[in-house]
Amino acid sequence: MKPFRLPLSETLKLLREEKISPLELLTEYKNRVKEKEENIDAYLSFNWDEAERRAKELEREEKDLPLYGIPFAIKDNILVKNLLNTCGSKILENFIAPYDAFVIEKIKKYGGIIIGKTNMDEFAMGSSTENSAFKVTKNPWDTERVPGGSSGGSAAAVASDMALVALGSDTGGSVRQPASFCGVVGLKPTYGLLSRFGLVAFASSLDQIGIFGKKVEDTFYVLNLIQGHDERDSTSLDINYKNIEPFDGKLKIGIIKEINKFGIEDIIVKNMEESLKALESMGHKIVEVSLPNIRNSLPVYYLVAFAEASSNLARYDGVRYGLRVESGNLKTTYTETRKRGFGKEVKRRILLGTFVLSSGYYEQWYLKASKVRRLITNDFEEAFKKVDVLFFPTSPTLPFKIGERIEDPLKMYLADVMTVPVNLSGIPGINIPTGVYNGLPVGMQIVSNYLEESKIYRIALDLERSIPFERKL
Amino acid sequence: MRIIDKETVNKILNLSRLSLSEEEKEELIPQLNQVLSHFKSINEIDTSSVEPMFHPPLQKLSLRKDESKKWFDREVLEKISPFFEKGFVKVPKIIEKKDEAI
Repeated sequence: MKPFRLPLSETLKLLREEKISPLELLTEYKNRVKEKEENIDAYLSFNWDEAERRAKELEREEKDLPLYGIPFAIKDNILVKNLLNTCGSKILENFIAPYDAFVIEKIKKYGGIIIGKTNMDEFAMGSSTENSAFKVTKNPWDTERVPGGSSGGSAAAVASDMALVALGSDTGGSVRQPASFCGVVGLKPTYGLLSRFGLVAFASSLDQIGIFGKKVEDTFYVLNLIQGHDERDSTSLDINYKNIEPFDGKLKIGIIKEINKFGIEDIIVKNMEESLKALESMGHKIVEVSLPNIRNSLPVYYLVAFAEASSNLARYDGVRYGLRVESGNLKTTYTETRKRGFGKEVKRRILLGTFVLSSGYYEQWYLKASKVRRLITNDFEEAFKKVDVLFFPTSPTLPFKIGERIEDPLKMYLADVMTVPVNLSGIPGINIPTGVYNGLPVGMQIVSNYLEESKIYRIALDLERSIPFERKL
Repeated sequence: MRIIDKETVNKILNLSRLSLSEEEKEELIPQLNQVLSHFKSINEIDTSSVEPMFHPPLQKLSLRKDESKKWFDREVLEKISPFFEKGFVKVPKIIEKKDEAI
């Protein structure tokens, strides 16, 4: 089998046994990129020279580095020193990262090789990767369809074997939803488990870095290596970090009583039922739980995300870095820079965020949303008293066509209806590919209470083992 | 019902230091209203005894010690800022005439 088809553990074995060298593996991936990238457009920039230098250097170092020679793709909002970091935006088109993100420091230290930066919706605002200022990434299963978003480039890169693993960011589903659309595993850990030092901020109470892999084991293997406390991120959890292993035992899986209120396509509901049957036959117990407030998650999520984004993106003022459009005085320079630098969706969200935070509207919009956010989180808390994990589809629909939703913001927002509740609470979640219909992948989501990733790991592994899923793109 | 009219848009454009052409405003105002009309349903939920939640309820957050640390060399900042001159970031004029501070 071609080396780029293999999951992480098998690739690492080949490398350790010297059946392939890091440079040879990198060359395999480079050739694969040459073959696929022109149809997929997953990447915004490449790092081949430095990657090759590092691969050669690694061959002279210890082979037991845990990520020895493993090729990574990184979303273009996670800083890699000396590489462009555009966030898919004109305003950062020429911005070169002056330092490594915490997670990148770890990947480099453990022998991982960064091959490039991946396309994304501008500042991670979108569900289709069509909002990038530079290119539209295509779904490797059907290039007329979107790969999901906002980490669509990372998902498409892993799905089409143009990277072994990839990092993305998940503010409202931006790792899990593209993972579902591209038929790969996408893991969003508990809020605070991965340091966000070096991740460009979008909505700080929701943002979390996530991992794409070909197999469940790949994502947890990387998570165990890149997690840890970091004093440079005040939301980084100061806990005793342990290796996350699959929970040993049978679990109670919760299905949501109100699931029929989410407008999920029949084919996906059917897939969910089949997946649950498979898990039941492995000895897990299925229990119905009610989460009455979860149906309000979409407005709550967007109102909170708009508000936080309008505040976080105030830093792009044309003064210190990024684009500057000089225009008379300082105020008109701010305005012209932001007018030319930001795309439509970013402007919409900044304006809505400014509105919901503004005097006279704050209580009715932002504060109200923050109160309902508590109710949603309380629902999860109650549910996890009765069950170990919750199980539901990652996306209500199959991947949609390029152009189908881009002109209608609300329709685009609805793509996130199944993923945003998880971010509002800060609990972890994963997407597992569970089927293919009409040549398009379907994915299911497994969600647990805070820091109970081991339970997600158990169910995800059992599901992966019991449901055959082939990705030959 | 219109939640945001042109006057409100002009106000929030100024607050957020953005500007739009008249055509862009014509396109944007209905979109903003469509989104907010759809989202206003949350106001029907009783939250009279609910405390707002602004971030995930994880207790183990910690602040680092309040000590100064060396971060970047000036050369690094100079590299990312195209507007560096003699150790300072150069900006356009802030005050044009008397009483015109922004």
